[in-house]
Amino acid sequence: MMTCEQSRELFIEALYDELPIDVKREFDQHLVSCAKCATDFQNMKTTLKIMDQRSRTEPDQAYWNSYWDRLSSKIAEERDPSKKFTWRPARLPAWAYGIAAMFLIAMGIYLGRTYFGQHELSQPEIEHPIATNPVPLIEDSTTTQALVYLERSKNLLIGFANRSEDESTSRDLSHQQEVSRRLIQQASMLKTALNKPDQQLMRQLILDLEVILLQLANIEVKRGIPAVELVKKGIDQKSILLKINLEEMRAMARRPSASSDKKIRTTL
Amino acid sequence: MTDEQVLITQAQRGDPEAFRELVERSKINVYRLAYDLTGNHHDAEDLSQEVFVKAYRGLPNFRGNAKWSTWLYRITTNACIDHRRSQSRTTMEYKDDLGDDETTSEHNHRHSVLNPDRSVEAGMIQENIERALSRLAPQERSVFVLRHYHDLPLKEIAETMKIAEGTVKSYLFRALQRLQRELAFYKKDLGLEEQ
Repeated sequence: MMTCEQSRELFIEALYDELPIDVKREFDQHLVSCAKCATDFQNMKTTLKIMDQRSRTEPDQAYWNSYWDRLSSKIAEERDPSKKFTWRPARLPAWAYGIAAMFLIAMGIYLGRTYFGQHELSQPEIEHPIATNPVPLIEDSTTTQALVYLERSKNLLIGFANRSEDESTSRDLSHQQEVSRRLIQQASMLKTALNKPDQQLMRQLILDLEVILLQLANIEVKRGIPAVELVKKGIDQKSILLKINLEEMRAMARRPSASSDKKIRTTL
Repeated sequence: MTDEQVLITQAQRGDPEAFRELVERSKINVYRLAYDLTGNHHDAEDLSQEVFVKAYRGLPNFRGNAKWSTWLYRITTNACIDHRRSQSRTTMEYKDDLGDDETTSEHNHRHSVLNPDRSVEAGMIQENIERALSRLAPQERSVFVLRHYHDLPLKEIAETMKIAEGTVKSYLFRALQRLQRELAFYKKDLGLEEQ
């Protein structure tokens, strides 16, 4: 005759039908004769039924279609360490990133005014035919397009991230999702075009952005706040806005002073 | 030699298309396991990709003693456990002491009573199930998820996690006990309460 202790050792196999037939018969006989074991076993069964209610939020086909592209770029970095870009920020609260971003922007403005601003003021009489040229000299058109793309994405994500909880339920996201889709289309073109070594950081950023935009484009309104919060969390976790700011500053630093007057036009 | 073994051999010889085919075949399962172990899409995305990068790196050492899927599951569970540990350094969400479970369960029940309408919503149920899962210790969660949501037999879980089968059973038993306590109040809501 099976003891209570022996029967409990078989609970797991019994719950998942992994008991040999003869052992199962003996186990069942014990449950019939022991109310305590029968109740405990039934409680575990019930818990598993509750766990069966769980469902996963599955990514859509667009996510899977771009999966290999994202992975292969990571593997390429793995093979060629010179292309490796590792972004591992320390675990800091969100406000610390904000302060860091403001500090960097302020420093950029200060340096810009100190060095480039004075240079321009001290040589006002020099005619610089290139300065009137609307096309930047150093940046190629791909970089310019990428900067416009980053600016558009940034505006979209800032607008989205600043939605209040009330807005998340009352306003639909159709416009932002439409913009996301257009940006995703542009991303695939830009990823191919950004093929120079000094453009790899920007390419990586566009890859990161693409994931966020895919999620934003595919939020189902009926899922409501949890889905919206999930995307907001993604924006926050990947520090995507800070990365865009840094990338823009990097690009600005590479520009000649004349081209710094050219403002990136943002159209959503 | 199976189709999968052929692909593994080709990938080991440096054929990127063979590796891609292996990824395409297993990406959904790896992502799902990572999602089940972390509970959110972003970590699952990052970790599933990390798993394939590690698999790519470790491919020359893969001897074929284990199944490809078992090997990937092992990398995934290890990556997720490491991830969870690094997170728990900053936020200790779960408690090892089973004696504290009453507090959590009472809190959940109180929450459900204060929001009777919400307690029956599917979204709320999902949230509470995810919360209950997050209360499990990493090893307990891994074992439970592999058995319950990925249908791996105990023996295969033991092989995947490189632990004894008895240890698997022990983790699974403790996981079920904890889940039972965390979700006790749901039996009534879901019409599963004993008569």
